Amino acid sequence: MRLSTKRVLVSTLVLLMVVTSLVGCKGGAKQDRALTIALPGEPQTLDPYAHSNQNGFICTTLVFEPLIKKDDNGEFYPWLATEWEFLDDTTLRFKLRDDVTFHDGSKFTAEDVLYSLAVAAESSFTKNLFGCLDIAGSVIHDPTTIDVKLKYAYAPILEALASHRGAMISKAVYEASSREELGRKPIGTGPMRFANWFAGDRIELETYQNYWGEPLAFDKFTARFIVEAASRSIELETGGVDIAFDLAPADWERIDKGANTQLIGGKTHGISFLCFNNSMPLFSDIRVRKALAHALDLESLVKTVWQGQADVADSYYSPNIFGYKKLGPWEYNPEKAKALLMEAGYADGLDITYITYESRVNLAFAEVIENMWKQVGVNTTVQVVDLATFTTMNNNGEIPVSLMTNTAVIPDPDAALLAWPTHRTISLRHNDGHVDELLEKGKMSYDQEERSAVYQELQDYLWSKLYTLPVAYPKSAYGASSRIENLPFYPNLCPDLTRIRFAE
Amino acid sequence: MHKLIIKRLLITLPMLLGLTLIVFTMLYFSPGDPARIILGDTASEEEVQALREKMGLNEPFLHQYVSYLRGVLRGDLGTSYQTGLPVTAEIRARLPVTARLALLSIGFAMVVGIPLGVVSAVKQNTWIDNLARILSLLGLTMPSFWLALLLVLFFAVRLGWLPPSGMYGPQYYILPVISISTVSIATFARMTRSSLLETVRHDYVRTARAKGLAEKVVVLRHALRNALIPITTVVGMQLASVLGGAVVNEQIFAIPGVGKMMLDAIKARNYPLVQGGVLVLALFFSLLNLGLDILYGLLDPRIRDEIENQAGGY
Repeated sequence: MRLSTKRVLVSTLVLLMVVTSLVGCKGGAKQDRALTIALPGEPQTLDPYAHSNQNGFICTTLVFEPLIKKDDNGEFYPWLATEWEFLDDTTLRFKLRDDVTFHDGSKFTAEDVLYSLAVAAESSFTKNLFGCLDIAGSVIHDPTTIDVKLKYAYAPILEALASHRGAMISKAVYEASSREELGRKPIGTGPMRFANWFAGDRIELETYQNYWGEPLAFDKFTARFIVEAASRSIELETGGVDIAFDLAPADWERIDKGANTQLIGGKTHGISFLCFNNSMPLFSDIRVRKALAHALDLESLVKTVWQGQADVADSYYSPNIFGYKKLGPWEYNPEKAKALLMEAGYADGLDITYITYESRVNLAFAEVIENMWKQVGVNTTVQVVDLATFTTMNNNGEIPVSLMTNTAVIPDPDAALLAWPTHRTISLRHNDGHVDELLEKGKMSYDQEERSAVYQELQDYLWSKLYTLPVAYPKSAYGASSRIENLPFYPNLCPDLTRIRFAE
Repeated sequence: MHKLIIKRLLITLPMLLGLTLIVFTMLYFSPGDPARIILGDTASEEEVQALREKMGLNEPFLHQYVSYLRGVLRGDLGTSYQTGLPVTAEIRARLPVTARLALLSIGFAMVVGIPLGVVSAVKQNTWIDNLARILSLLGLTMPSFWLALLLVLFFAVRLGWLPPSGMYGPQYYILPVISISTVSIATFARMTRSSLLETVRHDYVRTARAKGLAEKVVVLRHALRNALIPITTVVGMQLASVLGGAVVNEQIFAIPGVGKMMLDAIKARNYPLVQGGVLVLALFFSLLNLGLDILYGLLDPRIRDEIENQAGGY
C-alpha cells in the first residue's frame, strides 16, 4: 500500500499523456463533401406517410421525391413528372420520366405513382391533402402516363403534390415489407439513399450512384439528434454540424453575428391562437370569449412570450399565405372585458382552468395571461401536463382553453385552416356548419379570385365569431455554417436540402 | 460467500416482479394514449380506436399484464411502438453506453473523492481542509445540467479542447463523466473525511501510532481500511444518483444511452420500451449492489462472517 512520490508522479504523467493524446484527435473530423445537421429530436419513422414530424421530413426530402417541385417564385416545375395538365377539373394527366429507379434498383413507373397516391389518400397524416383523390377512377395508360382522378375539384392539389408530403414510394417494396421496416430503412428515388440509423444518435445517408438527376454537392449526409437547443447552437459554433434546426431565440443574434455562422430565419406559415373549447358551456358564450380577448394586451404579451420573434396575429392565418385579410389585432380594453363579463353573469369573477404542455413559450404564455386575466377578475388555474397527455386530452375535447399552434404544410389557406373543419377531434369543437361550407367552397374552386373572396369571407366570419383568438405569427430560424449556400428559409420548416451548395 | 450471492439473486426476482407490476400499473393509468400519439392530431377517433385494438390496448388490465409477464419470462420484452424493433434490441444498443458512463463516473468519483476526503481529514481544520470542504459543498449544490453547460462552454466553446456533444470516441466521455460524478465526488469526500475522523479516534489507531508506525501507514492501512466500510454503503447509494445523472446528461450531451431512450419513450407513451428500460436498469442496479455486498466481505472479514451466517440461516 506504500505509495512512493515517484510512482504517483509517473502515473500522473502517464494519465496526462493519455488524456492529451485523446484531446488531440478531435472527433468528427470535417469532410468537405459531407453534410452534417442537428435535429431537435429523433424521427419516429422515415416512412413519409406515417408521421407529420419535421425531423423526419428534413431527412426524407433527400430520399424521396415528388412528381413536381415549386421554385422560389411560386412556379411549379417538372421533377419525376416531365409534364402535367388538367384534362378537366377532376382529371390530372402526368407524363413521367423514364429513367428513374428506386434505391433497390427497380424502375419507377406509373404503378408506383398510383400506389403512392393511394397510400397518401388513406394515411391519417396526409388525407387532408390527398383525400380528394379518386384512386379507383385513376387510369394508367402506359408506364409513363397516368390520369389521376379527383373526387372533386381540389385547388391545392399541385401544391400538395409539390410538397414533401407528395413522396413517391415503391409499390413492390411497400407491398413486400412491413411499414415499420420501411420506416427504418426507407427506399425512394432520391439522390441520397439510406445507409445507417444509430438509435438515439444519428441517421446516415449516402449518395445513390444510379440517381437520374444531377448529383448533390455532398455525398454523405448525417442527421444528429440533439435535444437541447443550447447544445445544437454550440455544435454549430464549434463546427460539429453544418446546420442546426429550431434554434432557441436567445441564440439567434449570436449565430447571426458569428464569424463562421449564419442565421436563416423568417416568418413561418404558422399561427398561434388561443383555442377556446366551444363545446363547454362557459366558452360557448361569445361574451365570455370576447371578454377574455379584450383583457389581453396582445402587443406586450407577444413581445414578452416570443422574445420579439413573432408578430401579433391580426387574422386567422399567416399573411404569407394566399387570400389573407388583415382584420385586427383584437382590441385591448379591460373595461370592455369587465362589462362583458358582468353582462354574461360573471360580475363576481370567473374561474378558468388553463391546461398546457411544457415548452418555453407555453409556460411564459400561461404566466402572462394568468396575470392579464386577473386584472379583469378572472382566476386562472394553470395546469401543465406533458405533450402526450395534452394531445390525448385535446382530442378528447378535454382542454378548456389553451395556446395552440398550426403550421401550414403547404402555403394554401386550406392547409392553413386545418384546425377548422368540424370533423376534427381537437378541443376547438365549434360545431359551426357554416365554417365547413366556406372551407369546402374555397378548396373546390380553381378560380383564384373566387377563392380569395371565399377565404376573406371566412376570415371575416371567424373574426366575428371568435371561436379562437389569433395571438401570434411566430418566426423560426435555423443556423448554418458560412460554407452553406443556397439554403433559403422555408416557412413550413422543411427545407429542401438537395439545393445546398458549398462555398468555395 | 456463494450462499450470499444465491440468496441475493433469489431476492432480486420478486423485487423485479414487483417492479414490473408498479411500472405497468403506472403506465396503464397515466394519461396519454399511445395510439393517438402515433397517429397524431389529424386522425379520426375511429382510426385511433382501430389502432388501439390492433395494439391490444383495449384488453383488460390484468390480461395485458399477464401477457406482458409471459413475454418477459420468455425473454421477450415486446416491440417498440415507434420503431417496431424488439425492445431487447433497442436496449442492447443503448445499455453499454449508459453502463460505461455510470461506471466511469462512479469510478472517477471514488478516485477523486476518497483521496480528497483523506487529505481533508488528515489536514483537519487547515486551509486545505477548508478548501476541500467548500469545493464539496459546491459540488453537492450545483445542479448537474447547469454544470454540464458550463463545462461545455469552457472546454468545448472557449478552449475547443473537447467535443461539446455526441459519443464517437473516448474523449467524448470526459465532460459527461465530470458532470455526472461531481455530486458523488463531493459526497465521497465528505463521507471519507467524517468516517476517517471517526476511526482515528479508536484505540487500535493509537496503538498503531504507539508502536512507531509512520503516519502514512497508520492512516492508509489502519484507519482508512476501517473507514471504507461506511463509504462502500455510500457507493451503493451513489450508483442510483449516477444513473439518474446519466439520464439528464445524456440529454444535454446528446448521448444515445438508456436514459435518453427512456425519456423519449415516456414522451411517446412507448410502454414496452419504458417497461423494458426500467427492468433492465433495475437489474443492472441490483447486480452492482450485489457486487458491493461482496466487496464488503472482502474489505471486512467480520462482516463476511455475519452475512454468511445470515445467508445460511443459522
